[in-house]
Amino acid sequence: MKVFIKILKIILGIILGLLFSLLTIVGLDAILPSENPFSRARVNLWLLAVIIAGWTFFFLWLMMRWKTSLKGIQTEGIDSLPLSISELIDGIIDAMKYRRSVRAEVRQELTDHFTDALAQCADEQDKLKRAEELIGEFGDAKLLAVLIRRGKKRCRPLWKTMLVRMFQAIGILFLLLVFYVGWFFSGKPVITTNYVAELNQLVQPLADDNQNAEPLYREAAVCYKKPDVNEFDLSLRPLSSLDENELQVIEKWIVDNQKAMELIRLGTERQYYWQTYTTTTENIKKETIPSMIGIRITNLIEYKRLAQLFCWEAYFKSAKGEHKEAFEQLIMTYNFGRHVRMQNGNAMIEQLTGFGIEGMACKCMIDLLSEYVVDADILGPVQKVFTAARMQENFTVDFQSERLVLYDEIQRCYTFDRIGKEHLYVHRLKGINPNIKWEKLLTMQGIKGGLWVLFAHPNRQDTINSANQLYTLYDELTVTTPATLRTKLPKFHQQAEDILMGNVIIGSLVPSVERICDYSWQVRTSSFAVDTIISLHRYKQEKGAFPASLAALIEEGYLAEIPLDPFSDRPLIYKQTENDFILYSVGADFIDNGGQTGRNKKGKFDLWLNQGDAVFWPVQKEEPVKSQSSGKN
Amino acid sequence: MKYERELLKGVAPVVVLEILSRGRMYGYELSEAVESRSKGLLNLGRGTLYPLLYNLEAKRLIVAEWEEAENGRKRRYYSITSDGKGELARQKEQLMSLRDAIGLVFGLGGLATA
Repeated sequence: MKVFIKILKIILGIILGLLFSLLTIVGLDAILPSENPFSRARVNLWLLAVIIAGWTFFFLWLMMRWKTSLKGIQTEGIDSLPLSISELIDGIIDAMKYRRSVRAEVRQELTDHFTDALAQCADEQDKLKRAEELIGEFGDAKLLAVLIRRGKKRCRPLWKTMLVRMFQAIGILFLLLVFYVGWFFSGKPVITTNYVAELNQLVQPLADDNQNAEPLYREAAVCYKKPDVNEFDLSLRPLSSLDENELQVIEKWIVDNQKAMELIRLGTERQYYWQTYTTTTENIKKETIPSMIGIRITNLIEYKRLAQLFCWEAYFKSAKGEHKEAFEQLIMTYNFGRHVRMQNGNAMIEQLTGFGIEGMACKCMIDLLSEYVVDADILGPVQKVFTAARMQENFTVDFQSERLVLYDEIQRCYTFDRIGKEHLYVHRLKGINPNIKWEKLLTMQGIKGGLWVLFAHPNRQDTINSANQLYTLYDELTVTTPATLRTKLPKFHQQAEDILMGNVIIGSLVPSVERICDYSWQVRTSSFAVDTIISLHRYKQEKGAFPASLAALIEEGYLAEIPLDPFSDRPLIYKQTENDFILYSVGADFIDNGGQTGRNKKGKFDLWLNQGDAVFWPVQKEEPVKSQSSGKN
Repeated sequence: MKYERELLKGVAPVVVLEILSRGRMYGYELSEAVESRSKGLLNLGRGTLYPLLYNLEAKRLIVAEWEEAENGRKRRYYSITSDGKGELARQKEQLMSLRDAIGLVFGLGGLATA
């Protein structure tokens, strides 16, 4: 009988364990995002095994603890006792609520006691009378049961008591954890602020719509036509380095895009560029208030390609001797880049595209000066226009839109309703950081990360404060030259790390600030270099030789200011050579390598590598590569 | 004569230890021995005897083991341990001293005459 009950308990424990495992898995699949360890596509056997084993062991343990009825306890002599006595004994044993073996022992001892007490009774009547007296002497059965249980508990050895207490503590902690996890996975964010609307308000200047270049640029992007050859090296280089086939492809590409280029030209004549940011259709369907992360910024690739077309066309114009037109076109291209990036609050990707276009125009201008002799009469007015454009320019990176992205995600990543309020909203975390791999949850790093997110992650207000601190730091960073920053870099990293404090929201969303800021400084340096090189050529044509130093350019009114190298916090390095000069920045390695430019992995000159100098003049010329136009990527 | 419960509660462990110091006994035998040796004056209350025994066992002052009695039945025999003997001696000394003190207070003679 005892064995049968045990087997029955084990079977019941396993059935309950499997049932609860199934409920847990189905429940978690419903709660978690669509791609989770329990979904069919991403099923994680380890996690399933842990859940099934956990629940099965729990129910088996529960079954073993389950007190069976007293019927199972064998006690010698209890049947020969009067009914009232055996009821008293069973009442005590029932109320004891303790281990079965102990209850069996006490039951036997009490039965022996009453058997001995009644042994002297002559007849049944006497027995019943004595039984009543004994019941009276024993007093309250429940109180006695409590006292006996206490005594028996004290009899346990210390190690057993500690073990029991430990399991009790683990049980309580597990229960608390279950409640906590339940709370953690409940609740949803309440979206109150439309940051997309705020951004649109931020970028729109106090100007009429007819001053906005964006509609023209947008139309140009629609009109843009790709080159006929798909795999074509579009990187800008002097025409002398192109073969016939490449020249034909580029010429046709320019002809095909005349309409788009005209629209861009018209756009650059307008004072402002701003766009009304919208979100993707999918994003609108899902969310009542559009999210910043779903903002659709289109046309940037087309803008970049059109800027390249302008540069190519400038090369062709100069080749025909139309230098004035070529330079004017390049200044227009430079202004196009400035337009795209410089509006207050523009998105980071727009700023990067704009910087890229400006850099492209600068490179092209230097290339033309290197390939052709351009009259000082042409260069004078060109430089005047270019210097004016450059002087008005703010080269710092604008983090306002990024800040709004972060604020928006903070309001979406913390729950704000019902009982599960003010904790991370896991669904959204997966959305902002697709790199979170569920499979890694069972690795040590995954467990650490999971526990951090569950228990220790900064709350909503702390995250907002960190975001503010971080962007204040970034605003400071963007006006700090790379040379100055270099000395402060460990401190800056430490500050950023202290602010982040393992915050997964900020950590997932902040851009790679140092690289972006470096890029802005590189473009700024290039534009200074263009200005300087033009003035040097003007000086030579008018004075017969290059000046001994850059100071002469200032003194003679060819240049407004000494061009500073932000990578050394000193002027750009200028040296006279035989019939020529060299002008360079110490570059990203902060070391003066005597005007040697580094080469990238493909063996090509790269001004801003972490080795070598950024030599603007003389232009570093690659060995001409004679190959087919296709397959050069 | 019925003693106050609290008064008896303090004395009961010493009484049990004292009786067990004279030989091992099972529960009923012990309760009978207490009654007979006190000539019926001490009645521990049968219900409280077993919790008391389990508490003394927990304090390692007595030990219990199941053994087969002469009549073939298994009984749980209690016997005093060396710790129990030490505790008994200590408690007895205190009780004697208390008895003398009470005797002095009541004018019944005491320590001085002992």
